[in-house]
This record gives sequence, structure tokens and C-alpha cells, in this order.
Amino acid sequence: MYEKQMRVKFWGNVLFVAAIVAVCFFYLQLDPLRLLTAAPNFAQYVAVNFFPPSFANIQFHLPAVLHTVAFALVSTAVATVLSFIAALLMSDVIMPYAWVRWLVRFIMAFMRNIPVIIWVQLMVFIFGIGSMVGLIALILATTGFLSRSYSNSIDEIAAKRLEPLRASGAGVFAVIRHGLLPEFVPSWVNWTLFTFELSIRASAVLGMVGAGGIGVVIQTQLSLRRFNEATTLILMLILIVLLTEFVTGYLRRKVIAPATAGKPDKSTKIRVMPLRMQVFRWGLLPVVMAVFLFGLWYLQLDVARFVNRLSNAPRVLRLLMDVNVDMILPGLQQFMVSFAMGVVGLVLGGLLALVLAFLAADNIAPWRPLAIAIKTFVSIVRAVPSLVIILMIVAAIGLGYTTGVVGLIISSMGYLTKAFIASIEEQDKNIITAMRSTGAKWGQIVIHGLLPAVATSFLAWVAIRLETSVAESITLGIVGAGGIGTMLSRAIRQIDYPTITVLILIIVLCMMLLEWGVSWVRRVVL
Amino acid sequence: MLEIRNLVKSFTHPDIEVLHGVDLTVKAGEFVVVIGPSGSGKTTLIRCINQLITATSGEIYFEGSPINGIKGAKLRKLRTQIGMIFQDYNLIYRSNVMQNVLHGRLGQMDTFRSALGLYSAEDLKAAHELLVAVGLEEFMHNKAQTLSGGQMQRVGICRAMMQNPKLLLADEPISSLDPASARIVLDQIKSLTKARGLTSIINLHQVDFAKAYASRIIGLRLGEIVFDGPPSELTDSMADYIYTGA
Repeated sequence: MYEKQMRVKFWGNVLFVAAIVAVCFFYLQLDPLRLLTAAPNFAQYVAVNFFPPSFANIQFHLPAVLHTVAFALVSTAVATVLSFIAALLMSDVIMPYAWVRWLVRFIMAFMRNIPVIIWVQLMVFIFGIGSMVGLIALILATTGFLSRSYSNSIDEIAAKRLEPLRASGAGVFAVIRHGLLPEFVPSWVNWTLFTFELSIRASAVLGMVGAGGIGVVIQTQLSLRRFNEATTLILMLILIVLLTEFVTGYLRRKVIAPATAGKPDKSTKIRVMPLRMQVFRWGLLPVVMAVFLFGLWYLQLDVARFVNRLSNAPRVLRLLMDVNVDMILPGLQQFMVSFAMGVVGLVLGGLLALVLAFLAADNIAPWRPLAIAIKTFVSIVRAVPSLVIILMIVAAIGLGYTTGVVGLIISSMGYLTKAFIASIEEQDKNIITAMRSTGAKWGQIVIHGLLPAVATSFLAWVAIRLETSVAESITLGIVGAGGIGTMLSRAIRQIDYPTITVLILIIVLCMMLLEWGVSWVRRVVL
Repeated sequence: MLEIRNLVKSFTHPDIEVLHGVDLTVKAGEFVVVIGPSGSGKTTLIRCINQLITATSGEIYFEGSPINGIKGAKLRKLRTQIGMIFQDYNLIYRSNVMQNVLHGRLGQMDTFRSALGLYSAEDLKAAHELLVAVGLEEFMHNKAQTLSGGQMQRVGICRAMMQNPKLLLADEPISSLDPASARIVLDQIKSLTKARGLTSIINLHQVDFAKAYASRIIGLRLGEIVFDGPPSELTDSMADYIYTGA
């Protein structure tokens, strides 16, 4: 009886998701056949046109690569500090005034729910093209994202650890410095390194709107149809991202590993901590500062021009106060298009990821070479920003919703496969051994043994990814994949202030609603 | 030294009154143990004293001055004079033992020195002496997360002593510990407070431990004091009444 109920519930859920996808398909008037053939066509096009890579002009492109890294470095550093302050202001242990907490929360939500590329477009609109604009846009989006992650971690710590310090009469700065900071370090390292990886990808995208870095070079090569040179650049980008992943993974393990017992200090002087640790700590500071300053110097920021144009801001902001009410309905409709593309991309990419993950996870992979091939493929796909993938697809099969959806499928697949693999590999090996000992086949182990165990965490990943998928879908619209992004891009080109305002408000409000909905679903359903 | 008059505390969500008018006077140098079942209001009572919880009504006098509801610098000043030991130790796990002990001094340093952690040589010496007294000096530079539960609580004791408090509060300091560690922790609390002439108020779950260590026992039941006297007067039937109501 119970078994039957579960089965009904399971197929009910499957039908529900299938129905949503079908509605989205219908809404976007997607041609399933075209979608099916798009991937092979794209793969063939890439194989023929993009290979072999040409290293002809590599010496001209290298500075752009470094530029991209410097962008990510400086923006992450600044965003870290800003986010920490914002997260403190959002915490009810540190900030006693509720209205301040809500105000900061709202500002942060606003900042993270506008995709980076739209921040860039908006600021280019006010300040003109330049590296300063790209940097600020990146900092805004990163701070919005980081402050939420930081504040979650801080709330967890504050719930318990800080009470003794407050009970002994310590002031708020002492509580932050001696109570919060030490406990915060692991999640700080985790989140910051994670955003650094994101920023590398994002800063590659910045170039597309003229903010410098590798993105603009890739776009130029693609539009000049110099595909072989573009391949080289994309390979370099992949290399940087993989390298970053490797280094951050190492740092993560190093910092978070529980400390082993300290060796006894030989000197008789009583110290707060062993001398070599004190030296190490104070030595770290100048090194970090030096790296940051080098990045800042390397970016050659156009501060003077930026400050000059700052006087423009009030005028533009005043013009943006106007609202074109007629655009609300078409805007919402186009948001639905972006949303539908995001959903289709997420679901189809998720299904692909499901299969790939079970073929590739170490503890269940049926055939090792295939597992290695899948893992390599996925890290390569993940390293390429979706905007770059889209540009490649545009070059191969032209503009349109199909292009956008294919791009979103690829990026969702890349993200979810990695997440799914991690969840599967966390599972106890004994489940698999036990089932194998009964003579169960691979498919049986996966469906009856592993899938029930990982279902919840898979759903959590999909829920998190939904926000990103829709945000990416909006971003893709900027290069002409359709949806509200395309509409906004057009309005910005036509300097149509009232429409810009309406569309941005629609994006922010709908994305906030989505973020709230996703966190509600995660809290209540999962 | 401490006088509590008609203390009432009620919480919203869920709507319950935890303390219904508690009166209690504690003289300097007493070692008071509060016993009572879970939910009897022990924790609430103790937390009202250092204002981690603000009482709904009633008065608390610490050394003659009213303290219920004070805020800001006054509250911090009061808290520097009251040490507290927590059930779950509440150490900063990623800091070392020495740092955790020194945290007790932060409330008595100026903002600049406390934010930077510039402890004086006397503070370092005092912290070291405390660690010697509880037998943890060789773990001085180990991270707190590497210690056992009993060791963590002994660091908690040092942290509270580091404040040079006049009053020591302890909220079920041994309920997460095995009996052997529990005895060590209580022994150390007792001997350190006695040596410094401190007044102590300790919440305990275990009647036998209470009888062995207390100079005075308070029995709390459903938010009211139902027993107040020396350990010798706490009969088995009285203890049963406190815990089961029978």
C-alpha cells in the first residue's frame, strides 16, 4: 500500500515537471526536432571550424588574459570587505536597529538580482565604456551575492558562540574580532574562493560590453570569424579557470583542515600564540596587500574619466525616475519568455546531468575511461562562460530561442553534473557493496539504491540553480537570444529611459520573488 | 550581594510564564546550587542576573544597585563583574586555549586594545596561572576544537575567572560531561571560587552533586522556589518533590 502511494506520488511529480516543460516549450514555440539536431549540428560546426587552435597572435592576447584575472582578483577583494560589513549590518546580534537590517537586506537583494551584464550596460550608459565601469559592476553583483552567503554563516555562528563574550561585557568590536572572525574564517574562505571562480567567468563576459579583458578579444575573433584564434583564447580561459579551481581547492583544504596540536614553544615567555604563528599572520598581510595593489595597478583604471562623468549620474538618475507604464505588460511577457527558457534549459540540462553524474561518480561509474572523459568534458564546459558558449552557438546555428535554450542546457548540465557527482560520491560505499552482493545490476543499484538517497540533495541543487538559470537566460537575451534581456538591450541602445526603468524594475522584482520562492520551497518542501 | 525581588519572566511564542515571582537573596561567599527539572526556570533565572535575558517584571539588585533593564555601557560594566560558565562550553573553537581564556579580559580593556587583542603582560601571566591551576598549561597553544569536553569546560572556567568577577554563574556546567570529568570541573570551580572568595550560583541537574558541593541549595519547580536551605536539610522526599511533584 505504502509502496503504491509512493509510486503514485513519484509519477505525479514526473508528470508535473513534464507538464511545466511542455508549457514552456509551447510558450516559446520551440521545435523539439530542431532542439535535438541543434546539439549535433553545433558540435560538428565547432569541430570543423574551431579546430585546430591557432596560436598565431597569442602574444597580443596574453595581456587580456591577465587583465581578466586582475579584474576578478580586485573585485573579489573589494567585494569581500563590503560584503562582510553588509553582512554584519544584516545580523541582529550586531545591528540592534531592525530598519537598518531590512534596508541593507533590500539593497543587497537588489544588487544581486540584477545580472552583472545589465549592471555593466547601465553603467556604460551613464559613465561610458571603461575598465572602472566593469570593475564596479562586478563588485556590485559579487557583493550582493557574497553578503547573503556571509550573513547566513554569521547567523549560524552568532546563535551560540558569541554569548560568552557578550556575557563578559565585551564591546561590539571585540565580539566581532575575537568571537565572530575566527569562527567565520572557513566559510569566508569557501565563499570567497567560490566567488573568485565565478568572477573569473564573469569578468570574461565584461569584455563583451567593452570593459576590457579576454571577453572583448573573444568576441572580436568570433565576429571576424577567426574561429581558430578564438579557440586558443577559449582554451586559455579554460586553463585559468581550471587552475583557479585547483589552487582554491588546495587553499580550501589547507585552511579548513582541523589544526593539529601545536608544538610546545621553547621560550619561557608566555605568548598568546607561538611566535612563528604571529610572524606568519603579520607576514600574510603585506603579501595580500601587494597582490591586491598589483592587480589594481595592472588594471590601469580610468579613474579620472570616471570621476569626470560622475556629474552625469544625477541627470541620468532623474531621467530614470520616469516610468513607461505601457511597457509593463510586454515587459512581464518577455520576462516570462526568459523564465521559460531558463526552466527548459534547467530541466533538460538537469536530466542530462542525472545520467552523466551516475556514469561518472567514482563509487558507481560502470566504466572508468568513460567516467574520466565525462569529468574532463564537464570541467571544460563549466570553464567557458555561457555567454561565450552562446556566441559560439550563434555563430553555428543563428539567433533565436533554440540558441538560448541550448546554451542554458549546456551551462546547467555543466553545473549540475558536478554538483550531482559530489552528492553521489558522498554516499556510503556500503550501500553499493551491499546491493552488488545481491547481484543487482548497475541500473538497479542506481534506481533503487542511490537515487532515493540523493534525491533531496539533487532537488536542492536544482532549486539553487533555477535562480542562476533564469538570470543567465536574461543575460543571454543581451546578445539576442530573446526574452527581457533583448528588450532591455534594445531600450538601452535607443536611450529610452522610461522603458529601461520599467524593465529593470520587472527584472529585480521578479528575481526577488523567485529568490524568495526558491528559499521558501527549500525550507518547507525539502 | 545579590537580591532578587518578585522576578517574573514570560516569553511570547509560545506564550508561557517561566518564572512566577521569584525572591532570592544571596550573601557574599555563598556557593549556591540551583536544582530542578528541565523547564523549571533554572536557566532563565541565571540569565536574568547578567541580563542575557531581560526579566518581564521584578527587581534585581547587585551590590545594592538595581540592574534589571540597564543598557549600554552600564550593562557591559555590570557584566564584567559577573563571570559565566556555559553548558556547551561555547568556546571559540578555531582560536587557541590561551586566546579563549584571555577573552575574559576583553570587556575590561578599551575599545582599541580589545579590538586588536593587545593583552597586557599581567593578563598573559594571570591566564597562564589559571591554566596551570586547571592543569591545561601544556595545551596553551592548541586550538580549542582539539580538546575533550572536560578540557573545554576547564577552559571555560578559566575564561570566567579571567574576568576577576565578584559573582560566578554556571548554567549546567557538567551536564555534557562524563562523571569523572564532571567531578574535576566541579572541584576546580569550587576551589577557585573559594580561594578568591567569590559568590557562586550554579545550576545543576544532579542532586547528589548538589549535596556534595553546595553551601546552600535552592529547589526550583515550575518557576517557583520550593526549597531553600543547606544540603543537610534536603531530604530524599524533598528532592523527589522538586523533580516529580510527588
